[in-house]
Amino acid sequence: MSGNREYTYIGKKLERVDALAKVTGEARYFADVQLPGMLVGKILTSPHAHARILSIDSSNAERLPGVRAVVTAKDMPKRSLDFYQSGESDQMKGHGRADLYALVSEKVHFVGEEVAAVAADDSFIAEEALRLIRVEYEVLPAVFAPEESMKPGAPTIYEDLPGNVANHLQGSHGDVKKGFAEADHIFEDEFKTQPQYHGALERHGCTCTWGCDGNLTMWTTTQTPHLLQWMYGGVTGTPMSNIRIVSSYVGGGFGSKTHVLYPYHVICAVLSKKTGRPVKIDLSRMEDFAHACACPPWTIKIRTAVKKDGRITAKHLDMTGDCGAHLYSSAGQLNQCVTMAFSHLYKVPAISYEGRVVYTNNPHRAVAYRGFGNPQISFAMESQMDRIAEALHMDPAELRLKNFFEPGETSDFGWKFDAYGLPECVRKATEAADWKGKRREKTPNRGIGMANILHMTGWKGVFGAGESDSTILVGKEDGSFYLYTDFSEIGTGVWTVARAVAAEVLGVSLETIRIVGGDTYATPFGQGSYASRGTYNCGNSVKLAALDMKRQILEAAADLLKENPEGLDTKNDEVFVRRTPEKKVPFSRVCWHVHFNLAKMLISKGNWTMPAGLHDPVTNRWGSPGPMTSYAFACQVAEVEVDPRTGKVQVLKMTAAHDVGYPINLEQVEGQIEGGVVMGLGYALTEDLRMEEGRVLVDDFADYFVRRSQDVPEINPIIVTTDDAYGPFGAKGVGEAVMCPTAAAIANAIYDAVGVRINELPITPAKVLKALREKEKR
Amino acid sequence: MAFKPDEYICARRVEEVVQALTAYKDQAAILAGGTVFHELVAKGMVPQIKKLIDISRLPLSYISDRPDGLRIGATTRLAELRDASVLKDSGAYRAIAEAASILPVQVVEMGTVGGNICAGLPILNFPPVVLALDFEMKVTGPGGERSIPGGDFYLDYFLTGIQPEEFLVEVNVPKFPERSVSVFQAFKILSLDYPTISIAVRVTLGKNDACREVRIAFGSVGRVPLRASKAENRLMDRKLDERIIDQAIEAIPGDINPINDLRATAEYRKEISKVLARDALMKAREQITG
Amino acid sequence: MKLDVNGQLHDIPVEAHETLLDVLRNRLGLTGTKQGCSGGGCGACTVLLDGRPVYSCMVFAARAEGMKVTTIEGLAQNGEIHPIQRAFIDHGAVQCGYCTPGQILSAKALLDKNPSPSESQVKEAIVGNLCRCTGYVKIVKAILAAVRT
Repeated sequence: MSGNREYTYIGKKLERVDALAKVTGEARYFADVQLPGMLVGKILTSPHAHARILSIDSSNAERLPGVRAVVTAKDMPKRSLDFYQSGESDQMKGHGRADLYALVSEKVHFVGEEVAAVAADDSFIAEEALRLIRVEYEVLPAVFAPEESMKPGAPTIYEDLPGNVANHLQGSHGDVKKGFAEADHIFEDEFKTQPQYHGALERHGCTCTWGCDGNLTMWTTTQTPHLLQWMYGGVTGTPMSNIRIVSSYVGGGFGSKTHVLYPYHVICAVLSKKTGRPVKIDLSRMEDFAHACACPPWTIKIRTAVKKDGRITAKHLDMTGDCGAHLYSSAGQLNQCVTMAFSHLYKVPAISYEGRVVYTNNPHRAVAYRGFGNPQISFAMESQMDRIAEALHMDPAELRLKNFFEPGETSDFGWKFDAYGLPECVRKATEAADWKGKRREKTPNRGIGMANILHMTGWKGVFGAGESDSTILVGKEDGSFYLYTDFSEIGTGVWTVARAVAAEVLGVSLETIRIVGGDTYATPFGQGSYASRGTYNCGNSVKLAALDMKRQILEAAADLLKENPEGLDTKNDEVFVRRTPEKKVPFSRVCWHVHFNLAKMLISKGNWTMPAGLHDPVTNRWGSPGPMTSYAFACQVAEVEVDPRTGKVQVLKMTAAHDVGYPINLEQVEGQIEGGVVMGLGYALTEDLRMEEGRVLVDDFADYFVRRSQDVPEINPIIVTTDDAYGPFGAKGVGEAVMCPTAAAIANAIYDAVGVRINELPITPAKVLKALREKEKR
Repeated sequence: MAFKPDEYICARRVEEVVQALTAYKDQAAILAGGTVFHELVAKGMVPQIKKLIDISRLPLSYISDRPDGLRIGATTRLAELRDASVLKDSGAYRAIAEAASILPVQVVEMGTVGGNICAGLPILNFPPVVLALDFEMKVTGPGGERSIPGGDFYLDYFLTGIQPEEFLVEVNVPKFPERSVSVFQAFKILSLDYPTISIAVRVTLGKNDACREVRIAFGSVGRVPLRASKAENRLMDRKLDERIIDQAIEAIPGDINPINDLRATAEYRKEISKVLARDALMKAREQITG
Repeated sequence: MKLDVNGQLHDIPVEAHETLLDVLRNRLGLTGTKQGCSGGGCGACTVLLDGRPVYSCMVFAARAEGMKVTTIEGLAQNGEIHPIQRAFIDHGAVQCGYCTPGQILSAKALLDKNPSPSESQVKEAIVGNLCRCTGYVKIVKAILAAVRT
């Protein structure tokens, strides 16, 4: 598998590039930037879930001393912030509707929607100013459940869309009728999943300031600074060379800060332009909860046909999501659930599906959430697989292995599964967890359960047909380097991977390379951190840039050493002659030589995109190797103990086997697994962004149950290596796969422990207790 | 209206505090640790407060074990109560140390017993302990000192028997007979959480191990902490064996008034109240009989 | 008021409503201490007051007069980082970094009081410091490793 790997840095213990700055408090996040004359920006939001705006009178607010600007929709760009969704831009194919505006003018669609904003000398004046803005509303009937929203006669949320179905997906493949007809058993289950709040510790916001020449600088917290720059330019008509997005360190994203231009971004920029002063909008945690980013809640129905030997012959999926009042990326999430997990976790000859994302007046923002729908669909599929296994008297692991693809096989849709570590993940996880032994044991109230998933590494076609990242390497006169990457450091360690890859290829010490990332002024275009693509895309683009830089270095060294460049190599900051290694010259000398003798420069670039195939929309088939080149596979095994008197579930141990191709930074891969499992446990057992009548009921972490240090079980991360052909040094993505199987593994373990199956997340003690009581009665 | 006080008073004498309270009444807030107060500020619940009276430098931090009972100063930090041997190693007073063992460390190091008691919030740990251990609240005001018995102290959410010009200076806990034990337990969703439901129990065993005195008090079951009096009556003069306990705890749901909220439904709280009571009573019995 | 921060005495104007967190970040420019929530116990604002860990967003600045405030910026001595900071780096305990200063200070308070804590005591010491990235595993490991140095 891993072969003979003699690397200096790859796969070795690596100190993170950003760790020193973070442990000393020196690392700056957007809210740490303080500028002279900076004003406080605050946003007035709607108190109603659904209402027409009759009038807005801001005169009293404008007159308040210390208020420097008040803005409403008329001061905002006319274009929607998500213009690319509608396909109106000829560059994008669009997969939805554009419905997001900086400030609304005619209607409010949810509690928390942005209606007006002020910039003032301090937060007291700003808040007082908001109170002085008089908005007259005509309250309209509102709707809070997708089933209600789709019914005839339901309030219409957008005038051009009666019926409120924001996105609809339907299709089938193979002979589904036959597949169900020839089954020995048919299973039908319904699952419900809840909205989970990202809860990144760094809150949302930005600081904007303008130069006299019309240059905007925006410090913010985003996973995708270049996409944000492109979107801002597209919305406002500002040339991108006049927009600088600075977002080098990001205090967590998990999808809440990925390729979305939020109203507060544009509002802040406009306030700053209008006042001629820097403006900071720093949303408090309570404000953040009030109109929270969250994964949409889903209702998932799956019907599965199996032969008695366990082979699945057909499946049907019906899936409904509540996207609240804006589509965001929920249509993409639905699409991914169908095309990835539902179509490709198992090899099934016939599938059919119908899904919809529905508008309601709920206040959550249905943006991407770690896994992009995969934790939800996997919860449903993997819970049902266990029920099937029990009915067929099969070991759950055996049932799964029976339905996987073969390594190297291509699906009916053209997805090619090289580096197919899924069966190995199942075997390793179950073995390490003593699966067979624990299942035999039958300790009262204790149980063991498993779940497995596939996930993407990168995802082509989020924006247009391309999806790339770039690196620029500059060799300084003294042999040190600047590495410019489009990536922000959002915590996943991508900068450390970048430095390790560059140092490995160049043959230099890590300390000679300085990373410059996430600042559109300095860094080349790239998509950024989402879809588990960081190590993969950044690593590959760095590799290309470093290879070219090495070539340039060797050419210059050849000139110095009077040798053929083909006969040279690098190691330990030196260029040496392979035949006679004592003949060498340090990098510092070579680089000086280039700049001051040859009067040249050392600059290289690397741009990398997945060599994915082309999609035929008629057949829904992809050309080789499929829509993406690499997949993150995983299997997690949970061991739990249930208190039958209270229904409380204690997680004893999590075993998590992840196929990461090859771990460039093993410690950080483990860190992702540990963090992802804990987030997955939260999703399974305690986290729930509760809403009622269009209002979020939770207002801070005290009432939103994220797991703490004492709530973490023993976690055993197992790294499976499959040496991916496309990934840098064989590496694949891992950042999302880590929380996809967790909920199902927990649900299955609970069933094994006390014989009750909970199909609705989160699995609270009350639900378990209720199910146990009902079981007793029967 | 936003929370924007105009004065922060660092009081050095009790009289200063009483004067300020008398002058400013509802506009003044007493601060010791401030851990509850700041949450109220964040939720926009105290916009009317203009004067902050910091009592943390008054000589009100002490734990005094007297022949006639305990005297605990109002600004005694929870961390000190948690660690005090006279509490955690005792039988009768143990619930005080247990209730003071809150998480996280950032709150237990700043928070005070006075703040925990006077907030009038039954989700905090001390209110049920106040009932179970018959605390007497010694308050001082313009008319001098007076005592409020624990049973009369909690009137409603955020409302105690303390008048606007008064403040708590000391808590008195009676001396309990030999063979008395108190227990505090909380059922929580996660390690760091307010209790979904909490219980404080005090038991004194007499001749033949029969209950001479028993108190069962709950937090998070209503607008104020509540005693499960019917269950207490079923246990009086009886031996605390499992059968008797099981029969007594069936009366608990009738005596408590929990609500549905983000943590649990009223129905679930009623279920758990019995489990919690059973555990606490069994633990108390074990600790006395050894 | 006079505020002793990291061994330096500052004479600064403070308003009654200002918290210690406000003053540290906005008046003294010490932005290593973060605001992560509105009082819900995230712990990103943790500082030491006379060596004890507190939520600086829940302490009025005036309350801290006469006490010694320690922030993350005060841990390094003579250009050398503290062993706990070193341990966090060496054991992969840092991801997004937002909770890191608070975690380190809570750890310092623990180790100053209890030089050889058990794993369970370490977990209790940081239960008031929320981390969304690491799952706490390597943070606990780092603190235990710092014990050995």
